[in-house]
Amino acid sequence: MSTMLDATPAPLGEFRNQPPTDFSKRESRESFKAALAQARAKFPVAVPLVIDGQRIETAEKIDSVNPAQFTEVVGTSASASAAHVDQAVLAARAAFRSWSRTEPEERAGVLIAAANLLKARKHFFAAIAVLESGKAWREADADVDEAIDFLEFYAREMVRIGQPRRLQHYLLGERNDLTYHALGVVGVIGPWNFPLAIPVGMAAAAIVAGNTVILKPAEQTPVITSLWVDLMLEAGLPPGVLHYLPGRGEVCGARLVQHPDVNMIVFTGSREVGLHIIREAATVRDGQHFVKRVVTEMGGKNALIVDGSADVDAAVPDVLYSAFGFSGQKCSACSRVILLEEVYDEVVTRLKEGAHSLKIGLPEHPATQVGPVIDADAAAKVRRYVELGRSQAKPIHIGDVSKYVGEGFFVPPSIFTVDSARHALAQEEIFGPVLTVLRAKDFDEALEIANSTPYALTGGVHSRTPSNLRRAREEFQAGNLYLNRTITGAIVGRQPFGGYRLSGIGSKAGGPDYLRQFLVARVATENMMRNGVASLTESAVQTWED
Amino acid sequence: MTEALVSRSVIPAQAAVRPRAAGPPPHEDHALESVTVELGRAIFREIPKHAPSKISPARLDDLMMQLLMRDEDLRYRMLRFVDVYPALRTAKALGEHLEEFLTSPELATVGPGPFTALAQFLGRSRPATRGAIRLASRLGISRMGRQFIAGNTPEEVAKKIRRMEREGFLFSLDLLGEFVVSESQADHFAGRYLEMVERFGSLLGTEPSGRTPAGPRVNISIKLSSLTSKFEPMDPEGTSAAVRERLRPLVRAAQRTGAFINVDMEKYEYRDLTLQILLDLLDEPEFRGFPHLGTVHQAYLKDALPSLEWFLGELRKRGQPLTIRLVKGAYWDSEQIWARAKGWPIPVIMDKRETDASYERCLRMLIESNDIVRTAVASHNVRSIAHAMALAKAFKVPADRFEYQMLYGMAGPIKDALRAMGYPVRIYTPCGELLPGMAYLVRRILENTSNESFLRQRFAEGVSEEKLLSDPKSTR
Repeated sequence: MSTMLDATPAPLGEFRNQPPTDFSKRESRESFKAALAQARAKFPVAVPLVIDGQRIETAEKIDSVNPAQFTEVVGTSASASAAHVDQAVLAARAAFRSWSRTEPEERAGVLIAAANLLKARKHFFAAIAVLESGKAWREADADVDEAIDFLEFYAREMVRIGQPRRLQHYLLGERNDLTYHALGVVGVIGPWNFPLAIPVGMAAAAIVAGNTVILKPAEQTPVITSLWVDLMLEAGLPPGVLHYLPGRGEVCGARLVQHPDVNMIVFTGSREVGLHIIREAATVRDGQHFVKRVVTEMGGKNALIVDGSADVDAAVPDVLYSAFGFSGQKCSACSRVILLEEVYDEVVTRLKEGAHSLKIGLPEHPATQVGPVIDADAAAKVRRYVELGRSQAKPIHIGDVSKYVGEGFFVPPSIFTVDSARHALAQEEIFGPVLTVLRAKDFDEALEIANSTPYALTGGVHSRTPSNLRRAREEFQAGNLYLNRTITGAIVGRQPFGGYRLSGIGSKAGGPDYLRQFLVARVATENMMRNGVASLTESAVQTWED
Repeated sequence: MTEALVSRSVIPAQAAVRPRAAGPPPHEDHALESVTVELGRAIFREIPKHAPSKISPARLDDLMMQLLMRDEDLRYRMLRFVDVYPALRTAKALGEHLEEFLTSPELATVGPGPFTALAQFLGRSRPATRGAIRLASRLGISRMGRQFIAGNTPEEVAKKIRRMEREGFLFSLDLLGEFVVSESQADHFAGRYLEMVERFGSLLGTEPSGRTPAGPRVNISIKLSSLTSKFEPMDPEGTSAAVRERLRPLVRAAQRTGAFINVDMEKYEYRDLTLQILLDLLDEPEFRGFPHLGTVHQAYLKDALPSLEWFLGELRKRGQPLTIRLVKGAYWDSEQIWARAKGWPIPVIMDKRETDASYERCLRMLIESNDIVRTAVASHNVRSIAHAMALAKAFKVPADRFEYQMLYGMAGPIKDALRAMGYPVRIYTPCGELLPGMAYLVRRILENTSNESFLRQRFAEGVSEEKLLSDPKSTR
């Protein structure tokens, strides 16, 4: 155990979000450019498995390429087998005993130390995100900020939840103690669209709660997550607590989900895989003594309503950014815009002109607004929907990406109008830069259309009518509802994030309930009275506030 | 750049700048201070001669503003209503919104004010009463709009400006419009600007005689963010190239027709890029040395002084004359909110007197550089104005290197007083549709009704002359 953990950690101050980089400052831009060059100098980054602190190479390799220039190999990762999963679970189980008994403050201290390291290397990590996932500068910067926020936020949450709690302490003859305990081994399966923030959030929550973690990154983005695993070990995390298994979902992912000694699976990704995980986790296998917990975040078909009282000047850029930022590859992205009749023509015209003016290009160029999608499969899927739009909807705009398609996974940012809310373009998650426009005769119908998909992740309304905003708060089915702003960009602690319906199960990430998913509560009750003698001391333990 | 394409200016560009002000060594502060107070008193003596009559429309607007100043709750509700007003297309929508804005509990952010109960009673009252309120609000907001926005069409605006000129005022025209997110909108804006630069002079007709010499008659204020679909401080080179593409024809037209172009300042995030684009343009051979350009400096920024020093240095390096309009800044509320949301340091000075002090420091720096810059003192604050006059006197700044600017529809008596005292006064005159003009209108109402507003303190709250003229650099 490092000396860091032996020291008494200083009390943590109030949580504050990591400020985004101010790119209007020359020094910020120069720092970011330098970070891009510095990252590139390390390509291809070798990504081994990490089990119990040991770096393990495998015969099979998976290349992680720059989606904007697929000849550029960002890193070469090892590929974990089912046997590697078993080995990691064994090591994680062994480390669980001591880690789960480490004081919450000490566990939190490791997260804070990691947050500080990440702050110091923020632009380097963001540069990797630009080149590995195809994010524009600000998006990549925000990805790292969110990772820092998760570390800082969950550290404080664990200290809060870790306080012993005496229930009904005015009773003199009885003592009731509620305490939270770690579950065991947690499998974390991350997405590529927030290749740092989301895996870090899921894994850090599990770790600080006292669990040991096996982290499997998305096949497309193993490099950035691997750098974070190194950073956690540097911050003083005992090696048995976090194991890193890049590899193929159907091989190591499947074994992780089925393993009888893995207590919990936390997943962010597609609905198809998420539902598969839920089914697999429900099967109790030989030697398994618990019901697996599953937390999944699975996507949406998010809508933004613009009513007749809206400020169109504000609504149009908000829709464009929500729909086309990071090529529409955020779970929160706007894929439907519902326009009230009064503003329909004006907004459609301005969306068309605005989309026409979007700058498509390499994400490493600061002017770029729309970059590539993540890989060939994603590009093919988006193109299928664009073709569907061409033949079975009315195209408003189909971007020109001919200059880029030879070099990267570029697809045309597109806008279509459809007549029916049942249209495939208005129902199916595309996860790309495709926006579907629907018309509503009044606010009732707009809400009805908004709620007509099986998802409930994000949603938005642009309106200056107080009663419409009030109704939206009550009736709009969305885990995260945004009024008069963009519908992406949730911030830890301010907009705890997550949906319901087929958008996922579990409590909101970055919110007050998230950590409890990684814990079990136990209550110990002791009869304190013998022959009329009870403890007469007033309990010093504070009642808990939630 | 093809030299042959460079258009000939009818006004010869002053290649050489005036020799640097030899002026007296900076006066003793107390001497400057007493001249400031003396001049301030002179302005205050002049003002009552120009006060609006009790029954004038301007007086009604003042009364409405005063009502809003006294009731924070009503002020907030009305500002929100003014914001949505132009989007309300029918009488029904208007009535419903007015009722909602007066009664919605969501909007009660500061607790009820003295007029809340009355307003809510009226808001909920019988249709007949509501109809009356609707009418009043419709007239009221259009009236407020007309108070601050000179008109929609160039012809309408020209009429207003001819009247201003007859009264002895100069003008700078500002085009209000939609927030630009597309290249076609940017083209549209550039086209409107170009039309103004090229045609507005002829629309105005013959110039009244005896105008104060203060550069070209046609003076157009432009916003660089309206000349591109993406004004992106993260990409200064690309943004500068895109903006200059649309800016060149405007400046060429100004050279050709003898007009003045002022590059306005917007939010803090855009400041450095705005200044850089202007410098980039001035580095192009065809514009080098063109004297009829200007920009703005915002004294409410914490780094106002070092930024000004840097910019003046850049001008001096190039030997480039320029006009700088010194303002306090119009985005004070927004800048704080934006900075807090991002966790960035707040860029604006929080204390009003410190802002006034910063204004005076910037003024002095500008006046010390009056060989290279013309200074436009844009303020409604009599103390700031008087201080500028005192500095100009102390440094013997030639009359044509100095002017005063105020906003259309505001501070009428102060404008009149300055003009009567023989100072050149330019009126910043917004024109355009009411709908995109709402943001401008709300800023003006915020300014007029803010606790810290000079106009409010002077005309609504009767703060003493002595206090209003006191040195902001001294402690309270």
